[in-house]
Amino acid sequence: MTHSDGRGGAAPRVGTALTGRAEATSRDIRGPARVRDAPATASSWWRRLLSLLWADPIALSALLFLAAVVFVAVAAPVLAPHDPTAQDLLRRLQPPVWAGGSWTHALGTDALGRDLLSRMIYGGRISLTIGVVVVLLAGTVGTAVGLLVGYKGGRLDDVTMRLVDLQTAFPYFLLAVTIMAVVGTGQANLIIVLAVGSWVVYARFARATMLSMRQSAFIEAARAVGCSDARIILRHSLPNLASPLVTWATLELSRVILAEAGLSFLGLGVQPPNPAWGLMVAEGHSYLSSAWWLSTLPGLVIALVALSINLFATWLRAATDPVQRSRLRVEQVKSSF
Amino acid sequence: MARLFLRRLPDSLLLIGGVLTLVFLTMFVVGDPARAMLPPETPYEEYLAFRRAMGFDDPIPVQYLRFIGGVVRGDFGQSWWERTPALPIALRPLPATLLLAVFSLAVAVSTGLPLGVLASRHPGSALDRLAILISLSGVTMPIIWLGLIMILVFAVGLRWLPTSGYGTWAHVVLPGLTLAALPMGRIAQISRVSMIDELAKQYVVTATAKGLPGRAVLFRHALRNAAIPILTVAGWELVLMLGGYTIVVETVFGWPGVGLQLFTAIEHRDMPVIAATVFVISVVIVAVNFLVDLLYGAIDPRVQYQ
Repeated sequence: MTHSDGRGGAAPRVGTALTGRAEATSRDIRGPARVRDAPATASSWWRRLLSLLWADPIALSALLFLAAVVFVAVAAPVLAPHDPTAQDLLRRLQPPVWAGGSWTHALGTDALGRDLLSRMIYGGRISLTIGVVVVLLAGTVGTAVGLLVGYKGGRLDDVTMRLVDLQTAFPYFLLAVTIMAVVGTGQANLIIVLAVGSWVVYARFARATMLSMRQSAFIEAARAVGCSDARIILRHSLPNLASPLVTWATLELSRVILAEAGLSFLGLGVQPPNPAWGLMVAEGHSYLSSAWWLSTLPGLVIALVALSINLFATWLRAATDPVQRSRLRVEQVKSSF
Repeated sequence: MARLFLRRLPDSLLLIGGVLTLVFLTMFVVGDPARAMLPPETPYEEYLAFRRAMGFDDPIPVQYLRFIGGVVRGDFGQSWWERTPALPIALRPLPATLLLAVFSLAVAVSTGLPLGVLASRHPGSALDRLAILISLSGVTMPIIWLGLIMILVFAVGLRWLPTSGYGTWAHVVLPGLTLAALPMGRIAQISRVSMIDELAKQYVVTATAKGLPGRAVLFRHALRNAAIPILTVAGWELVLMLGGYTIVVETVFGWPGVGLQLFTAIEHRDMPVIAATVFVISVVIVAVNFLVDLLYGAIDPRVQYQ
């Protein structure tokens, strides 16, 4: 969105009268396509977004599902019926309640007699935390680097983008597997390795946007009134990226969760006895024919979370990006063709 | 073709060199190969002696040159586990992986492409929405989970196909279909979007106006122009399969390919084999990219290589 309309909770612009005027100019100069859709205030922007969400049952249910998963993960100590790592070898491999089990272990128990439901609840904590931390880390570093090299240009830009190209030309999962195998597993390592795989996405996007903005009048005006580079990047450029960045970050979250699940499945991610969804799928793998629920239920949660994130992100992109919105209209025209 | 090869050579060497450098850095700079090779209870003096004997305490640049020099001669050292040269061990499972990947790509293209093209004809229709949902499910499906469901339904439940192994065509079906889900989704998505773009162009209107049957417009005109992005995605998906998805799928199904080999080498902490395997995969990836470039020219005569 343009930085004139609401990004909820945006910091009030404090500055000299001159910067204020520069930004007012920039508002006028920003393309009419964006201004046309932009309502006047922040609250009406949010209200419009909410009404768009209400009109889209798929996106709404995806968001509600995600909210429920996050809530359960946050409230895990209250909600989980058992200690996720407490073993009870007398009650191992109990089936879920609908397959003849008891309500004490609603989703059954694993090979060590640990309660599957509690492990899935706590597993959400670990998997979601890793996902969110990785997205924040990679997003911050990637965006910062992208904005900086895009703004500065020159040799720094060339070298960085060469690196980024090199990294994107190679499937990162292979490298992640190799690195985790050598440096050893551990949550800090896991987060760093996943973040290294993800920062290029943001760097590329931030740089491309910065390049297109660098010559525009509002940046020139900011420079003319003597804004520092840092101020131009952070206060004048970054807000213009905010909305598409949120979409990118959402999509990346699902990718990171899937990658973490894959690594944990291979034994290179979260380590036992910690519960993480991908690890639980791996642990149940050998009991597939006798205790199918051990692998398939945590796997189902991963699948649903990834699908919901994607559905929501697709909607978010369409709802917040004016270009996409007009594209949607074009597609409706095309359908009559 | 030779010219294209020469033109791609610097980038390809840079890619392989970058990957090898990263592998070297993790193994010899971040990791401690002597510690990894010796049993944990080895006395410290013995550990130091071993380090010196193996050259692991030489300066890093010396070790790096030695490593790269070995790679150039095709020598990654002896496998720490099998005590034979590492490169042949890494090459041995390559045919199995290529078979699996090509099978999956064939499945993905032959399902994803028609799905995308059909959906593109009436954007917003029920068929289109179904196609979007199918392709999105393919893209977001965790491979580990899909593999297990496949085993559960077709091997454990219906007993139609073997759970794991290698040898007959029946063995390739389950891992092949599991591996195909994601590329199917991506190919459907990209063919839908690029076909929608093409179908809106003037030449399509012209072709329809002059009385060409719809099928000819769709396949001979629009699809041919939409082929470049579709080919790009298909090639990239093949690359992703070779450098990632196969590790998971081969582990789930016990398919004796490069991915399972890598997984086993990691379990054994067999660094030379890990390095050789990563090298083999990067060479295959470079080859795939080269093939895709060749195909660009074959599909679209506007693509010229000077």
